[in-house]
Amino acid sequence: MTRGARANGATGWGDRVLGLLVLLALITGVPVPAAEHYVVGVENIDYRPYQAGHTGVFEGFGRELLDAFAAEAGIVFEYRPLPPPRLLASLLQDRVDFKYPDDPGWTPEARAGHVIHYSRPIVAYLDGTLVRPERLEQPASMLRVLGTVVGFTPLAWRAALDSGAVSLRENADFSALFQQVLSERVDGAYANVAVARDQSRRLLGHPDALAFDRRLPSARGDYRLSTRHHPAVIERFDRWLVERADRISALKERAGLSETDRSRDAVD
Amino acid sequence: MTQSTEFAAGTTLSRIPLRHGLTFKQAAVTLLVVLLLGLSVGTLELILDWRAMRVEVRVNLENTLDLVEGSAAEALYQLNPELGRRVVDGLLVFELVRYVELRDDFGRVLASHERPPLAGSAFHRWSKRFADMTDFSRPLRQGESDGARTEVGVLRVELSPERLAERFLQQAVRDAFFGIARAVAISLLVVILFYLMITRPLLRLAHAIAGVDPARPGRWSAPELPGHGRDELGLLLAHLRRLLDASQDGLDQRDRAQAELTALTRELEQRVQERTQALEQAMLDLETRKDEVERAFEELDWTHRRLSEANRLLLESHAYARRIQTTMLPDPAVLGDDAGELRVHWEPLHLVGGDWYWLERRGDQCLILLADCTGHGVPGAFVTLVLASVTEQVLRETPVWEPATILADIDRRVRRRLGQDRSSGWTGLDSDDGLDAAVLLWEVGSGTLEFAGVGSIPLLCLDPDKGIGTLRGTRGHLGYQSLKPPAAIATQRLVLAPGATLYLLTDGLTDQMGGSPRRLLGRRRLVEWLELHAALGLSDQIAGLCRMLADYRAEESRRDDMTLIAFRPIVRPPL
Repeated sequence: MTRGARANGATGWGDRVLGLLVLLALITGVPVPAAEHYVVGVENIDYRPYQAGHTGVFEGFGRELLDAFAAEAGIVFEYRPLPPPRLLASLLQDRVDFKYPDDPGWTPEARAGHVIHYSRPIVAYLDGTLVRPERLEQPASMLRVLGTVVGFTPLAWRAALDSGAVSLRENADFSALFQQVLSERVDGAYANVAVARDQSRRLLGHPDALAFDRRLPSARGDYRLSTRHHPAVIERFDRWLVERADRISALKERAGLSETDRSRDAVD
Repeated sequence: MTQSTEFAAGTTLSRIPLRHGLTFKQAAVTLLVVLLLGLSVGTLELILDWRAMRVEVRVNLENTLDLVEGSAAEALYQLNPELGRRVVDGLLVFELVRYVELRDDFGRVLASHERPPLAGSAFHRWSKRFADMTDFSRPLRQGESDGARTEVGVLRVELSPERLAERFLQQAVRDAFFGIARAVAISLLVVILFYLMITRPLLRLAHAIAGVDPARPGRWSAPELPGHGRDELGLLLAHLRRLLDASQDGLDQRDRAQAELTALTRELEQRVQERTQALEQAMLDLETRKDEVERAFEELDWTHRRLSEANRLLLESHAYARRIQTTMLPDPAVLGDDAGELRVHWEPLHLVGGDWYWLERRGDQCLILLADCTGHGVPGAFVTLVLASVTEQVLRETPVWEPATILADIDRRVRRRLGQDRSSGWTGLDSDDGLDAAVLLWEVGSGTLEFAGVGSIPLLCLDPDKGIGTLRGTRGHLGYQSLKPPAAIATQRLVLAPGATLYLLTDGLTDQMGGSPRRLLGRRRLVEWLELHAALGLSDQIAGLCRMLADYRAEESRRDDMTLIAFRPIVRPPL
């Protein structure tokens, strides 16, 4: 949702000129145009190390990245944490200007008929199946009940779920999901591997309470920034990603997400 | 067919058909009343139940929605179809719910479920009674981290009007069934109690009454009605017992009275026979008396005819005497027009009377004399003849008229003419007649008049400014052998104002009885009347006075002769 002027693709020189105008306005009292203001829909869940919005405040790597871009682009992002299933609908009904994170492969049927602009890949993700360590290396046919957190679709298991070979049991959060797996009520948990390790470390004291079984179905992709009506901002963001690659890498490093990209590279 | 003939045709004295029995009628009436009452109350209950059920369903559903509101809002906020489905399924547990829908704020149905409709039923016709309360919709909101509440969708619940109607009618049918059963049970119970407590004792009583000997009702033996000694049946039995005893007493009294009546009839027949004989004898006597009475009546008729003839002769004599007496009265015009206006009302009690007046003018001197002689009728008229003769003689022989002298001369001459001046005392067999008289004398045109009177004739003077004044004459009378002549007759002078009217009158006017309470008219009433009608002419005054007197007298008969002389002299102002 655009509350200020439309984006005009300002450059770094433009930023400096704008900053100078703001300074002059403060000194002389002459009114200046307000900064561009956009609403970004984000997930209201604890999805660290990528991001977290469960406290009502968007934080983590995603926040640092978008804030850095906004600061340099001279725009203002307002973050609106929403349940993950609401994000796409909110974007499609123009309740938010941008959606983060997003992936064109998620719920493609809902996106059909809509023109959505996606940014370049920002950070890679790996959604996989985590099992108790003693169940590693077991064939996929041994897994009958799959657990997940509400709002996440186990795309990698879709065929098995549709055929009825595997049943899905949703849980309110990661703690419940882990307890379900550890108590053997479900055979495995489908979740983001990095997030699962982070949650395991904070909930159970060590990151490997559940083991990622690479032989079981998994899905890989990249988080992107998406919009319907502000492609120019996306273009500026894409240029910024290229221009500030080192800074972004540093942000990933600090968030512990550099391994994610490396693991993808390793798999690839 | 009357009721009695119907009873005779359809029943006997010993057995009543069931449909005519009290028990059957009471059962039918009780059942009808209970059913009608139950129908009325049941209808009212049905309406109240219908309204209560609507309220109850609405409240229960609202409470249920309160319970699931949080879960439904969470499902819509999270767009969680599984949670939404659980909420929907949970609401469908209630059999009245036909359709549940969770619709998110993006307009998409998150979860819904519709119960298959009921198969066709007679209850469906009633479903429209609930059609207005089947849709419930509740907007759902979810709290945000900043405390604001955002609308996340709508929970819509639709109730099945058919199931509502079915549930309502099932309850109604159950109530109706129990109501009918209760009515029948109450009727049966009442009928049994009625039969035991009333009908059966009544039958016993009826059988016992059927055994009463009409000739000897007092010998009736009353039936035993155990348990009814103090209730209405016991009272009925007691009254019946008393009635039969009284009937027996009546029969006994009738027999005695009949015997007495027979004896009395014989006695009466005897008396009638005796009276008849006495009457026959009396009739014979009456025949004899009748002949005697008829003869007496014939004599009475003869006498009556003689009396009528005598009366006719007497009336003719009186009429002639009146003509003579009238001719003795002067013409009012004798005084002349320059003397004034004069009107006379002379009315004797009978055809002739004792009142007499005289008018005379000598030169400019005018004289009015009014006298009331002793008695009335023929004796009074005779005295007026003597008075007329004496007056003419006195006036002719008196060179100078003076009222007191004239009256004194009249007294003297009347006494002499009637032989009352003899020295020997009055024996009671001689004439003791006399008169009251008054004389008014004046010069034509003069306002000064002289008046003298002896006896009861006053002079009334109506002055237009001062009202009426009265001059009375000297006490005493003229004539009368038993009385002495008046010692001194006073002549009074009066001065008249122009327009004054004078009245001379005999006591026949003022002494008339009448009015209510019954009393004499009196001079005061007369004076008041004259004052009130002073503006009238003299003829009108006299006519009005006569009408007033007739009204006052009413049914009373007249008592005396009446004479009134009204005179209004012409008074010339002094030169």
